[in-house]
Amino acid sequence: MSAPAPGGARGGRPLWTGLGLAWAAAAVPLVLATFIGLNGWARVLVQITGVAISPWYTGGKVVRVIDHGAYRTHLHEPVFTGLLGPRKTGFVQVDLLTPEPAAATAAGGARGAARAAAVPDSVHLPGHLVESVDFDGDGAADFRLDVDTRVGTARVTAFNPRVLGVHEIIRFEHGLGLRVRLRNRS
Amino acid sequence: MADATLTAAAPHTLLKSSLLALPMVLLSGLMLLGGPNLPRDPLRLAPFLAVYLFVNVLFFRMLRTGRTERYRAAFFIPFAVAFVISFLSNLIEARGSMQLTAGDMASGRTPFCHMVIPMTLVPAALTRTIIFPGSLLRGFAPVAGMFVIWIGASLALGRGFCAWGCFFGGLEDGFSRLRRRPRVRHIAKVWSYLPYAVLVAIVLTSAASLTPTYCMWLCPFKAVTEFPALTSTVARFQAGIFLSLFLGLVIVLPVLTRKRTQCGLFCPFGAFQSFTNKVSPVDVRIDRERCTDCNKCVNSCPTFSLDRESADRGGTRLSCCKCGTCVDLCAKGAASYHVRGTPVGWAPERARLLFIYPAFLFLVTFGGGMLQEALHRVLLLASTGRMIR
Repeated sequence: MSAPAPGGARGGRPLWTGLGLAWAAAAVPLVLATFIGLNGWARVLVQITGVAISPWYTGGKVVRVIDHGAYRTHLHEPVFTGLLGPRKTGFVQVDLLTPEPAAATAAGGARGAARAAAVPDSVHLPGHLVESVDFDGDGAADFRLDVDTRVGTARVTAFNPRVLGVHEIIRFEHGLGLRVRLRNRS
Repeated sequence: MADATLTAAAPHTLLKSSLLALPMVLLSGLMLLGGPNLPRDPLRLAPFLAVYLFVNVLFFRMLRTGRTERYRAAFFIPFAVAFVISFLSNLIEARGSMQLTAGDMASGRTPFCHMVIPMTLVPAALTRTIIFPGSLLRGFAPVAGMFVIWIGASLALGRGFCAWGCFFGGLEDGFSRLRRRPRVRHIAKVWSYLPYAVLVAIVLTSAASLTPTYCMWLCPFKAVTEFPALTSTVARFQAGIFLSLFLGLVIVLPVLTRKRTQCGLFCPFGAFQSFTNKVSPVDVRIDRERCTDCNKCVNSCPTFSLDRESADRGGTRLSCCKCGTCVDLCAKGAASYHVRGTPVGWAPERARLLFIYPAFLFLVTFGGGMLQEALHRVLLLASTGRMIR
């Protein structure tokens, strides 16, 4: 380590040399702080930025829960989120969930599929469900869902011209999620 | 001019190496254990002890020999293999399959990886949403946790993350070492700009579609992690792309070229991470007074980050991963780690130490857990006949 002193023989600037060395020396504490405080930093990051997972994946916020005894209906708010403004089309998600998560294996349809594979027996939804849904909250049903939970198919009867049809059927561990394609108001 | 004591690969005495290794002995124990107590389960204790010993022997050798790259690679490559073993074991335990279903995505059960970060930034800024079907804070590999690790790595290491932290990079690093000599020696420089083009393409398409397009269509590592359930023609086509890219970029081309071709010629995250080299404290420089233009560094750089022009300018290209290959190879000590703000050629060994402490600590912390988990799974297999609990 027989090196010339910082800022010495080869023309360095002492201030920049000192700052550079300080920054380099801070790297070890930085790595330690990153990992030791990981969960805390992660929470702070989420709070500061206010970000959430895209509703195109989560289905959006649940705005209403209807308890039918044997199962519950979770109605999500319609999703039209776009990059620079709302999109022309979107979807509303309706979850049909058993009260207790069953130990079902998850294997289901890909995005866009209108038919899911056979539902495991451990998902204790009634075999056939008919559900009227008012997604815009005006007191009138906007569509009716006719769901065969055993084979994982659904039919939509639209009462509102904004309703375009079944977009996707998602199998959860404890029920089904149905996405119904919608046209935006604008 | 070629004073041996000034070269970066200056070995330390046994005593000095031992003293310099002491901080890592303490810190690696702390970070590998994650708490004050040793594991009681022998199937956990044995992997911990093995990994603890392994990493400290490597770091000691790094100090004792003055060489960086071979000991980095000795951890980096098993780290990648361990990642695949531990990731797949966890995945199959939790979900029963490598296939990612719509239900998994809607439930936020997709582990987040650093490769997604560039695609999420524009949508996050404009819609305040993360376009990834994971969880922000809960579960295995949550989004916010990976962001924190990326920020820490970027500030401390810059693109050094790609040689000291990326859990995929070790796969092609390993394959690139299978042949002693390359079969393909010349790759046109223009190809090294492809990662930037891929980066621009995936950032724009992800913003427009609000889906992480690289993950959906182009990630070679889906072949060894998880992929959309093969329930449609589109999903099968996607799987075909993943497999082809993995075979081509991670296995065949690295074997033929002895380069990390996925990192150097394709990876958009690597291109994105290159810009963080501007803020990290240590880079690699070429001392023009010592350089004899032998081109060994240019020819050996695994990520195409050195060319004649950059060497003539006294540095690397922006994409340098700080792996240490050129530093170790340069007989004249012209290539060396360099602390920003200091004169070029100033105390190269001190600069190397200032880089390898945080870099190796990062590697131990990030990779050590995966190495322990993979060893645990292997012991589980040997003792019970099953890798899955």
